[in-house]
Amino acid sequence: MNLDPVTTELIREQLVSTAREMSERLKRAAYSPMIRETLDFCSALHAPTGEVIAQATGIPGLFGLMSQSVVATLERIGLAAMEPGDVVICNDPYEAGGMHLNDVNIIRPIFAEDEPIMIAQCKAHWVDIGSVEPGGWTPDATDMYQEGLRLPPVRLMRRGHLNEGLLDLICANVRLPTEIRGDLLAQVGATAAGVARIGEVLERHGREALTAAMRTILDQAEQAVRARIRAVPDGTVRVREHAEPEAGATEAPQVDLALTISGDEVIADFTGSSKQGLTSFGNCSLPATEGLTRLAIKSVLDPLGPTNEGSYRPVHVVAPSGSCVNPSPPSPVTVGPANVGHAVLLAVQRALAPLLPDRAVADEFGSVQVLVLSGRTPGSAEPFILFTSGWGGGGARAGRDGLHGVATQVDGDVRNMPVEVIETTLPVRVERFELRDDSGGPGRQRGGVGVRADYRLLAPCAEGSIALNRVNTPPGGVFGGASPLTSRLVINPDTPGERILTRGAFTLAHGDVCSHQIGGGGGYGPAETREPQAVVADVLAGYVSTAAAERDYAVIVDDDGHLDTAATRRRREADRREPVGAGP
Amino acid sequence: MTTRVLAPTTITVELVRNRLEAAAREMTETLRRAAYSPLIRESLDFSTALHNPAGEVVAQSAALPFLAGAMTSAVATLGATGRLAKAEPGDIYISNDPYLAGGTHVNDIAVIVPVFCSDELTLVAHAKAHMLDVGGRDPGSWALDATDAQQEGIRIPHVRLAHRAQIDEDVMAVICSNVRFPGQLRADVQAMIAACRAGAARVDEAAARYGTEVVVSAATAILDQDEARMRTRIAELPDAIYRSSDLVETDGLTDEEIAVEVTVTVEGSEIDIDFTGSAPEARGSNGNMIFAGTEASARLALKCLLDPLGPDNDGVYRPVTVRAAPGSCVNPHHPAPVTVGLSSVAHCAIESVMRALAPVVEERAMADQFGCVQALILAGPVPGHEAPFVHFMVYPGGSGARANADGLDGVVNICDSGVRNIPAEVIESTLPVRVERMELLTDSAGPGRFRGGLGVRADYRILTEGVTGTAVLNRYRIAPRGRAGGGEGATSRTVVINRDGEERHYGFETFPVARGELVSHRTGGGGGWGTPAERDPVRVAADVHAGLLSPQAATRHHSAAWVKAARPRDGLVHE
Repeated sequence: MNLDPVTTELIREQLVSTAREMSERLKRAAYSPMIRETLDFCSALHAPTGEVIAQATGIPGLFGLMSQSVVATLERIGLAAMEPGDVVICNDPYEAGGMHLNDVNIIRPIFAEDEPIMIAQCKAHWVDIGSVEPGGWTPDATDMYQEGLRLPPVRLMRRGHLNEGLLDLICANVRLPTEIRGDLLAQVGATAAGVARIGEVLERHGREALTAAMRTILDQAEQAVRARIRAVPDGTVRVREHAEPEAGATEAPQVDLALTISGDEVIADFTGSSKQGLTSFGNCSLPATEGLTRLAIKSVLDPLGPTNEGSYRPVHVVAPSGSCVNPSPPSPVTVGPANVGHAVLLAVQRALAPLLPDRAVADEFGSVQVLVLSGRTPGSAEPFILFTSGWGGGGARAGRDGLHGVATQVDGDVRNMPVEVIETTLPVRVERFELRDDSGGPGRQRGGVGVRADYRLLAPCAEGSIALNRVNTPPGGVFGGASPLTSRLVINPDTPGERILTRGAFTLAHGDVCSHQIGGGGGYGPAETREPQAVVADVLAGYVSTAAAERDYAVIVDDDGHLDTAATRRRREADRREPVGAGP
Repeated sequence: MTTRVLAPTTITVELVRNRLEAAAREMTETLRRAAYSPLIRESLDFSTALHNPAGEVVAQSAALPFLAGAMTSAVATLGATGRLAKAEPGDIYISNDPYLAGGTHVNDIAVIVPVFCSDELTLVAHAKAHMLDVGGRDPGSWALDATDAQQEGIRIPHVRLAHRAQIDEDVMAVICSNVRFPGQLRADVQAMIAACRAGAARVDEAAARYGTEVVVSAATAILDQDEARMRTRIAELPDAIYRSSDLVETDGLTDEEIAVEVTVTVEGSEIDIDFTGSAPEARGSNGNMIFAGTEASARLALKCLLDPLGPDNDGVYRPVTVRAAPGSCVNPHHPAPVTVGLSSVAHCAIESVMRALAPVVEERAMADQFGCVQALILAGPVPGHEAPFVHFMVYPGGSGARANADGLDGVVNICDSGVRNIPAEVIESTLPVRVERMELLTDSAGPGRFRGGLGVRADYRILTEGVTGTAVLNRYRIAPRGRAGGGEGATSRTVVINRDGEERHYGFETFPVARGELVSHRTGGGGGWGTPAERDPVRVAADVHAGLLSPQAATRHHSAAWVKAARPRDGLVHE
C-alpha cells in the first residue's frame, strides 16, 4: 500500500506524540526523584523488527540505544510467542542489549487484533539495582555480578497478569524496593498508554496504513542520511582517544577508530582499541558503543531530522569482542560508558569534524561525572541514596561562548535534582550549588563554566562513589583555545583534612563536606583575542576572576570592575612579542 | 458431617515415623545422586525434611545438624505469607533470603514442595542446599567485607517456582542470570525438586497405606512424644540460671571483638536460652548471624548435651525458647550482612551454650572445638571460559576433649557434622590445583588428661595465574579453650609459601596467590580436658608413635613417664 504524504505525516506525529505521552505518564507516575525530577528515562515505539519508529527526545545518549533490547527480546522470546497483555522486563548488557544494569527496560508488544504490529518500550534509570555499592555505580567492580541484578528478557506479565513472584524477586534485589516497585509499575503504565494510543491510530487509519507509514518513516530517514553521506568524499579517517585509567592502572584505555565513508555508508571500526578492562570504569558494553557512535553520526549528519532507526541503517559498527568497546562477559560494564563510552563519542565526532569545519566545537567538560552518596537514614532501617550527575561547561563554538552548568551532551535534557528535594528526602544539606570560578577554558570564545555542589552529610556515616572522566586528558580547546579546569571531588575543602578524588569509593563521617566540582568546556580561538569588554563582563558576572583575566586573557580590570584600556593594550602587545602559555 | 478419626496406635505411629524418616533420608539420597555441584554430591552440604503445614519439622535426615535446626523458619515464614494455604498440587516454592524468607544465608537455597494427599495439604517437603555461588561481590558469595545484604548475592524471597508442575521459566532465568555457575545451580535446584518429589511420593504411599488422617494424626503424635521425651531430659537438670560467653574475633572490617553472651534458664521441663547482652549488630558480615541461625545454634548445642541420640524434630524444641535482642549480632536488623557470620557467630553461640550447661551435663560436655566452617576459597579465571573456577570447602579440625575421652581428629565442626571433604581426586580433576598434602597436623591438639582432636593441614599447589584465596577462619587469634585444666588447641591459619620458602599468614582475609605458590590451609585442634600431667603415659607414647605428638611437645606437656611407657613397644622414642 502506498500511503499519501499527508496521512504519513499525521501518523508520524501521532506516533511521536504517543512516545512523548508515554514519557509524560512515566514522569507523573514514578516514585523516585531520579525519574520524576531528573527525567532519566526514554520512551519509544518500535516496528515488529525492533527498529525505532518514534522516540521521545530527552536523552540523546539513548537515541541509538533503544532497539537493542527489543531485538534481544525478539530473539529470546519471539513475537510469535507473545500475546496481548504480555510485558517483558530486561536490563542486561550481554543478554538483553542494555547499556548498563541501572537502565531497566519495559517492553510491551502492541497488537492489531491478534497480530503484533508495534512494540512499546519504556527505559528508565533505577536509583539502585542491588550492586555492591549503593546506586549501582561501582567503578572498581571486577565482574558483572558485582554490578547488580541482571535481567535477561523475561515476562513480567502474561496476558495482563502480573507475575507477582518475579516482581517480588526483583524488588528483593534492589535497595529501595518501595520506590522501585512504583517506578517499575509506572513504566508498565507508560507502555499501556502506548497501547491505547496506537489503538486509536489503528481505528482511525487502519493496520495497513500504519504499516505503510512505518515503512515510509524509516525509509525517509534512511534516505536523508544516505544523501548526506554520499555528499562526503570517500575515505578513511583515523582517530585515537584516551579514556581515564582504571584503578591501579598506569595506562589509559585507548579507543582507536577508523571511520570509513564508502558511497552512502559509514563504517566505524574500533579495531585496535585496548583490551577489555579489568574493572567497570574501563569497559563500554557493545550496545553502548553502538548507541554512542550512532548518536555522534546523527548529531553531525542529520541533527534536525526525526529520530528513528532509519537514520542508522547506513551506519555499521565494528568492535572486536574482548576489547574495551565490546568486552566479553563477565566483564563489568556499568560505569565505563561514562569513560570509555565518552571517548567513543569524541572519537567519532573528531573523525567527522573535518566534514563540518564551520561547526567545530571545543570539548565539553566530560561525561556524567556521577557522584553517589549512600548510608542508613538516621532512625530508619531504610538506606538513602543520593545519585547525581555533574553539571559542567559546554565547549565554545565559533561566535559563541560555551554554555554554563549543563548536562553532558549524552544526557541532554536530564535535569539536576532540586536542592529542596535533596534536603527534604535525604540526610544531606546542600551548602553550595554555584558556578565554579575560572573553570571555563579561556579562548576568544570562552568555554562554559562548571558547577560546584557542596553536600554536607547529616547522617552518622555514608559511603560514596565517584567516577570522573577528562581528568588526565583534559577537555581540549580548538583553534588556539585553552583547556578548562578539570573535574574533581574534594572532601572537606579548605580544611587540613582536605582530600581530592577522581575515581573510586570513599567514606564520610557526620559533618563531612563533599564538594563535587565539575570542569568547564574548552575555549575557541586564542584567549588574548577575546574582546576585552567580554572579559570584563565575565569578571563582573563572577565567571572569571581579575587574576585570571590578566593571566589568561591579558585583560586588566581595576578594583572597581572597569577595564583598564591602556594597561590591557600594553599587556597584549607585550604578550604578542612573547606569547604566554595556556590557562591553568 | 464430620468423621471422627481414632487416634493411631503406638505401633502405627512408629510405623509412620519410620516411613517419614525413611522418606527424608531418601530425599537426601536423591539429592546427593542428582546434584551437579561437588558441594552437594561430595560434601553433602544440605539438609532435607518433612514438615507439617504449620512449619514444624516432623522428620528429617540427619546429615547437617545446623541446617536441620534452621529448616523450620523457611516453611513457617512461607506459611505466614498465606501462600501455603492457597497452594495447589504441583506448586513449588523457592527462597533463600534470611530476612524475607526465613533463610540462613543466601548461599543456602530452599526448595519447598507442599505435599497433597487426596487433594489435602498433608505435609511439606523441603530441601535446602548450599550453592557454590549465588552472585554478589566475590566468587563463592562469601564476601568477607560486605556491609549490606545486597552485596552478598541474589536474594530470593518466597517465590513460586512452579505452578501445577509447570516451572516458571522467567523466575528461573532471573535466578540463573545472577549466579556465576548458572548451569550448575539450575541442575542443583532441579535435584532439590526431585528430592522433594521423592519425599512427596513416599508420604503419598504412607497415606495410601494408612489413610491421610492417620498420617496427619501420627505426625502430631510424633511431635508430642518427642516433646515429652525432651521435657523429661530437661526436668533432670537442676533449676538454675547458667551463663557463659564467647568472642568473635572480627566482623571482617575491624579487629574489634564481638561478644556473644548467653543466659540459660532451666525451669522445670523448660529451658530459656537468652542471648540478651550480646554485642550490637556489626557493620561487617562476619559479626552477624540471622536469628534463624541463632535459634539453630542454641538448639544444636542443647541437643548434643541433652539427647544426642534421640529423634530430631520440632517437637523436641517445643520446651525450648531462644531469644535475642533485635539489633544485636545474633538478631540483626535488615539490611545488615549475615553470610559469613553464620560460621563465626554460630561457633560462639554454640560454645557459649555448651559451656554454660557443661557443669550439669559433664559426661556429655566438651572442651572447645577447633572452630567452625574454616572455609578456604580459591577462585580464579579459567582461560577461555566466562565462568571462574571456585573451590569452597568446609575443613575438618580437632574436636574438644571430653571428661572421659580424647577429642576426635580431623572432623568437621559440630554444625556441619555429616559434611565431608571434597576428595583430592575431584579437586585435581576439576580445578587448576594440585593437592600436595591432606594430613593431620602434629601437635595441634590441646593437651590434657584427655587431649583435644588434631587439626588438619591441606596443601594446594596453585597451577594457574590470577588466583585469589580467601581464608574464612575463626579461632585464628583466640585459641580453642581447654576445660578442667586442659590446654588450648592450636589456632587455625592459612599460610601461603612462595618459591623461596617465604611465608605469608592469613586468618580472615582475601589475598592474591601467584602461580606455583603453595596454599597451606591449617585448621586448629580441640581444647584438652584435665591437666596434661595426669595423662596416661601409655596414651602419650601412642600419640608420639602415631606421629600425632612430637617428642618435644610430649616432654613439654607431659611427665617423662611416657618414655618408659613407650619403650617396651618399639624403638621410636625420643631421649
